[in-house]
Amino acid sequence: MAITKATASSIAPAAKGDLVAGTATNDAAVLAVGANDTVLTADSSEATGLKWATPSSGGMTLISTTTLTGASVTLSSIPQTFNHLQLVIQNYRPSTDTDLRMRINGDTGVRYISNLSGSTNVSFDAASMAIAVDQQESSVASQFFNVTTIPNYTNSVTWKIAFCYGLGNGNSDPTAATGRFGTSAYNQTGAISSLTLYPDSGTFTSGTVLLYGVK
Amino acid sequence: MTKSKLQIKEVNCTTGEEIVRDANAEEIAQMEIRCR
Repeated sequence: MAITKATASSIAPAAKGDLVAGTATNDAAVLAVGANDTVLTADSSEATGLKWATPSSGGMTLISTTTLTGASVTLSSIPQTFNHLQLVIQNYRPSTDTDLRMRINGDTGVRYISNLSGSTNVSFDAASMAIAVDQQESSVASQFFNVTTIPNYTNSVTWKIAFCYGLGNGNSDPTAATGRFGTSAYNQTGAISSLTLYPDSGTFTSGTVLLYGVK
Repeated sequence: MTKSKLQIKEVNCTTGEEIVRDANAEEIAQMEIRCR
């Protein structure tokens, strides 16, 4: 039988948005419409196996914005509720020409590796990881820009990686750009709750780090 | 710049609390290793 407006109306819904949903074999119930912008979601604990629920949101949440000062900056107590972390670092300028390093969970052990565009390290041979240009120029205002993504940072079963890309002011020619990208890694499996950034020597002159949580 | 003036910044990403303190002896020692 074709479903027409007349046959559909013969069910005589009590209200706009009412749905008829099975509750068991040869049994059904009316499911009232949910709140605006909710979506129909399967839930076996409900009588109808369905419910109206707010869709889980994706996208990026800004967790913190921090000025780079002193010898190091640590972002601690990082919420464990996101899928990935993303660091956006802008205008990093060290007090002396040097690269930008990162440590995880305050670990100063030799447990890091840096494979950034041309690096050839094959063993975990460093006590921190490089995440940006090799020698950021210190003598001029910085146009440095870098993005570092740490996927699945809460898992406790894999080594951790940081995918890094960006550019800084050329060490020999500050008006030129020095680019670098690649993957650095940390050979411990614990969830990441803390990140420490520091210039490989000297202190920060300027810079900003934005930490995002990504769902 | 003297070693005692080296400062460490810590930001609690849950509470937003920000602390700036002098680096302790262990942290200063690590910096000396980095600078070699």
